[in-house]
Amino acid sequence: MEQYRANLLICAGTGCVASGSLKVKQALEEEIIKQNLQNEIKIVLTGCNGFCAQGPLMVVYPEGIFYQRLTPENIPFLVEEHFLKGRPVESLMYTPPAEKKVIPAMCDIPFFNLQVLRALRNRGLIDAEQIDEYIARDGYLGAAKALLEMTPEEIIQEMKDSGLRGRGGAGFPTGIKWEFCAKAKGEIKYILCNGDEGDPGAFMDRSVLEADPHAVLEGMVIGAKAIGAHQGYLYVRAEYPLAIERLEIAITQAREYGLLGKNILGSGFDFDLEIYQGAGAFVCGEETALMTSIEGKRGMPRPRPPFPAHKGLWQKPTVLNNVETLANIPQIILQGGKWYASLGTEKSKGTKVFALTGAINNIGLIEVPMGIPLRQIIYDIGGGIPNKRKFKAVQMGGPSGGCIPEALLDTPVDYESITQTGAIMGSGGMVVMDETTCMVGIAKFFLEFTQEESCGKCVPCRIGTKVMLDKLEDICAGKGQEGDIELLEDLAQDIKDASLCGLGQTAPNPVLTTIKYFRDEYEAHIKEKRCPAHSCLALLKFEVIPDLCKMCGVCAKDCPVEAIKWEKKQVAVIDKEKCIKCKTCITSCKFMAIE
Amino acid sequence: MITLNIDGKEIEIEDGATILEATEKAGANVPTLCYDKRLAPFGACRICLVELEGTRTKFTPSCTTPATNGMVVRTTSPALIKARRTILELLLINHPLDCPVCDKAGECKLQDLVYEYGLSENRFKKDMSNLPIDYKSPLIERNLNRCILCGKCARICDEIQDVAEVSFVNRGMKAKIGTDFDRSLDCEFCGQCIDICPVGALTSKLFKFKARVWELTDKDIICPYCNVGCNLTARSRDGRILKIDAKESGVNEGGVCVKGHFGFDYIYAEDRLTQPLIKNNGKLIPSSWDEAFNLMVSKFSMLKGQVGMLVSPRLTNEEIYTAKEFMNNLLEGHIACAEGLEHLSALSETGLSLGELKEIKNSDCIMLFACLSETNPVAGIAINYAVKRKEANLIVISPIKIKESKLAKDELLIAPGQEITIINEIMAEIIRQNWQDSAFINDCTEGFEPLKEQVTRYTEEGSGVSKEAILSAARLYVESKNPCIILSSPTPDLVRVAGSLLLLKGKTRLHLLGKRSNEVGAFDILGDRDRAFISSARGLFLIGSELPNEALQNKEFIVVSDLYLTETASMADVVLPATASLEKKGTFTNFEGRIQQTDTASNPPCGAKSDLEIISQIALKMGFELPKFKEIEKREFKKGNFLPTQAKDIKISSDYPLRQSRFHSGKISQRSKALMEVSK
Repeated sequence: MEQYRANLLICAGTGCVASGSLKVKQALEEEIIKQNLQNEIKIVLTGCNGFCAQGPLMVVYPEGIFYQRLTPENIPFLVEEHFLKGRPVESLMYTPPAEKKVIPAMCDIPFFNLQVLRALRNRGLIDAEQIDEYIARDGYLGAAKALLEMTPEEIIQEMKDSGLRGRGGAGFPTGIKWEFCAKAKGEIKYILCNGDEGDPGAFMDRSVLEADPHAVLEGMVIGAKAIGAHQGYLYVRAEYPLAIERLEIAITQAREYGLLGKNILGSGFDFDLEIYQGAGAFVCGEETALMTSIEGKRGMPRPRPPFPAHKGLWQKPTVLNNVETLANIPQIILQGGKWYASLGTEKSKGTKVFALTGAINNIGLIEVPMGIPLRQIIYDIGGGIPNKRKFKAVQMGGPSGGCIPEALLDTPVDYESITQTGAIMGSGGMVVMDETTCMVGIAKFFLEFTQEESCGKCVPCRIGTKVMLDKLEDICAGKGQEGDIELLEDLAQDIKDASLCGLGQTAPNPVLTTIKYFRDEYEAHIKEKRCPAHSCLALLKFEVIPDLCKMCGVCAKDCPVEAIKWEKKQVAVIDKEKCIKCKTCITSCKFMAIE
Repeated sequence: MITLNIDGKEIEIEDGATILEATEKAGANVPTLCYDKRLAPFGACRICLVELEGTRTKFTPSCTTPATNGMVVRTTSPALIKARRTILELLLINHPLDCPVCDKAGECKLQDLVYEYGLSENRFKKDMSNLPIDYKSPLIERNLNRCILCGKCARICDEIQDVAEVSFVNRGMKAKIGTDFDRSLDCEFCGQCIDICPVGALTSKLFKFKARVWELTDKDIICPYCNVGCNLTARSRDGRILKIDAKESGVNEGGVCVKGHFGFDYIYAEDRLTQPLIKNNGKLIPSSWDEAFNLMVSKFSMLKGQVGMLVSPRLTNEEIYTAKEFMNNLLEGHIACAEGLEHLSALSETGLSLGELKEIKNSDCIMLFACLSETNPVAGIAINYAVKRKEANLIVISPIKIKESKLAKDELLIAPGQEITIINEIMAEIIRQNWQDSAFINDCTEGFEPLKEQVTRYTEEGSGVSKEAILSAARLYVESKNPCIILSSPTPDLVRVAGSLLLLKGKTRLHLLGKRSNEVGAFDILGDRDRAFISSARGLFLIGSELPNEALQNKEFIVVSDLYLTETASMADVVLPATASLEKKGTFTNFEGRIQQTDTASNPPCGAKSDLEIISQIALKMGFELPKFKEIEKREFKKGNFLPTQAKDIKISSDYPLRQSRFHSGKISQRSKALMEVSK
């Protein structure tokens, strides 16, 4: 292998590609050739680095210097300064919010240094399209061990020892799931990977598939051996073209290397994989709907029992694991279940990947040990709330989850504790909300989503969520009535108890948790016809609250139709005749002084 | 058997039953909307929820959950009633309460449940859907605003009928049952979706605004079309059939095809005969029954011993039997069935007995030589069931692709007319591999050696099918436990070779379907008699039968009894207006040999008489009382005969391969406006 003076790891995850990392790469290549550095410097495209908000990103090794928000225009200067003159460019480095000093090395940035990488251990380090790079990082060693040295029972025992629970959200112990399927009668069995990530704000699985596709394939090979499957399917939504492309490359390479197909590694074990693209229905992430979809039918959930471990895909015993779950497995086999279980809490072992997003400074993908308090994620890793706004709640678990308020921020992140709050661990979406987010509005947002995505099969989910949505719309429109909250709570309970699948059974959670923690906001909407977050258009008066106005004049400056009169040291006044109710002033006012 | 406790009552039920089935057995009244015992568990409506002790979840759907030993189930509790009421309230937010103009009212499950649960108010705001009503599709009107999305129509269409004309489309509240791109229905129009729809979303256009269901009189009838012998309920008002529903009991188990469901209106055709006609100066002149009878008595007395009779295989057993007695005892003439029954006599030669529909359902290997979806659609349902639910292997042997081909494990596309050859080739393969059931052959059959000698000469691929395909089919067939061979209106030679193939496997029943409702009854009573007497007879008495004009020349006296003035009738000296099978009582023998009672469902046209009445009354006039029909014992297998048969003189007629319309096939179906509408 050739040696280079420096390796430039450019993030080619979907986030950075969207913000232009491929153009940056092209500019770098040109510049490096121009400076005749091509024999000294190597450019590597990696999978998602995780710090998506700062993209396009580049990490320079051996120093580990982290450059952010690169543009093709920066490149000539950067190359000249850093790679010719040896002076790293501070202006392109990361500065934590509310601080002035840059942090040059990636390992010193709090966003990174509080994380523990297991599922994401190769992120930002390897070229996802090169199987050799994965193998160089102990790739397929776990599969080799499982196929050549372990019996299915031993693999399952190792999984049980690890305490790994399904990372798709429900948290069912993976080892036990495998054991059920391994014991189920039948010659033909299947292992499936659930890559139908659909929660709003969640992109963990996409990043894993893009950054480290082989880890998922390897996890499936190990699972296949454990349950006795010889065919697997990766169900990935079609909206993830890059993930699909990298998976296709990975599968082709693994086949070429004899890591998939007949007689893998001479073990006598056959296993192969196919990708099945989902057509974008959220409900296809539900296991029985996913299987129905692979069967070529409309993706609608089936009643359980029979459970997939006995009658799954094409009525054969089937295991379905989430992408992140699978990515953890090679390391568990290689390093042992006990090693994995050394991190985490009593019932939730290992690490969990979250997609941190919303009103937070450090938007991105993180992997943290189970048991870490929410507060640490939001303030230390996430860097707190931007624009000096107040934290209001964090939404976990997407449409099936709930909103956790400030008072519960010290809750440790583990399955049981999060469930106790009324939210769920979920697949890892973590949406942070500040004081400008209306909690009735957020409940309405999620109900709109579940109503649109309900497959329409069972009555409580199809019609019940619509009735709840109508009520929430009424409340947000100022048409709420006494008794609406109680009606919502009552119907929510019936929907949870009576729905067919997880989608309906959890759809009322966002409403129930917001009522539980923010009942006063609901009451303000209904009784006072007021939206405390100043968000519901129908309830806004577009008036300045004199007591709160700091007389800064930002609102007047930002108003696109000059409807706000303001003079220095004067409270602003909104001319309602001119006002077009665009809410620009409300967004710009840092002091919640316009209602 | 397992035992479970339902509302405090101990119930024993077979393993594999659902909780719902156990509650039914316990006599508990658990409501359902989306459940049907013929369909796979679905669990959509959530109205059948029950409480299960010791589970994490509050409620359990009883229709999809298997009963297990020791379960303690409560089917009613305040919480359950509340949950069920909520479901109904939700359904009612967009279900129009147009019961006064809904044809389903009175037997609508939603209406009944809302009544039972006393829902006079709704906590939730109405949100009516306003989907266009499909008036364009023939026979079936679809009002999706009334649909509660139980999915039964889509499921019966897919699971039972294997058409999948409609399915769920869209999501959330926009979800509906639709066709591709919302086109009109273009299906087999079996109308089973109408029968299974619990509400008024799917209704029969023939029944629209004809009557309230509580005004209808229901009569159990046997379908007048093919000889599957479907048990149907004819529903009439004032003596006129307004609709026909399939009966859940009986051979068809709720199945019905387009003809049985909608084709009943042939009896109301405008050209029905309503009074006897007598030929006078070359013209048929209306007359009284007495005049007609008197003329017949005098002519028949004159021609005694020289009258021949043909009877339709659509007559009841009683009529055919009476006709036979009449001919034997009074006219001393010949009688035969108007249609050839050679295939049934060929079956008798083989010694095999008639197969039954339920054997097809439970078969693990079905060899099919006909497109049943066209000829005998309800028997086709049994194939769908066996293949889709029981994973039976289907072997389709046909010169063309047929509907069933897509379900086939093996499809052997033969050269036209080579059905006999391919069976011989399959038998040759079986004998060559020594796969035959030798013990059975030794004990229960005769003629194996000649068969062996004949078929093992087959080495060429005369059927046009590759050796590998033949070997594969032969292997599927011999490796199965309960194979069936299905033929529909075959040639007698095909019956002979198929019989031999069954005997090789030690099987004693052939599934032999026919086009006419009482073929088997006619054969049982008359046998397959030679019709050569027609040419020498001086007089003819044709009951529901037609002959080519040449055969009617130079006859001294021709009587025709029929529903319509057919070409044959117009050549007759006396034409008698007969009644149709929907207008009379009697029995039909279906393809299985099952004798089934049919009832008078419609008043016959004033002036028409049943053929039983006609013959009995003439006999009385001639001073003779005919004996009553006695049921004929079903033939059981005693000894099998291998009948070596070769394909000979294959004549490919212009309409070969016999692609039929499933909508009409003959005299009566072509007079059904309903069937003619869909066959356009």
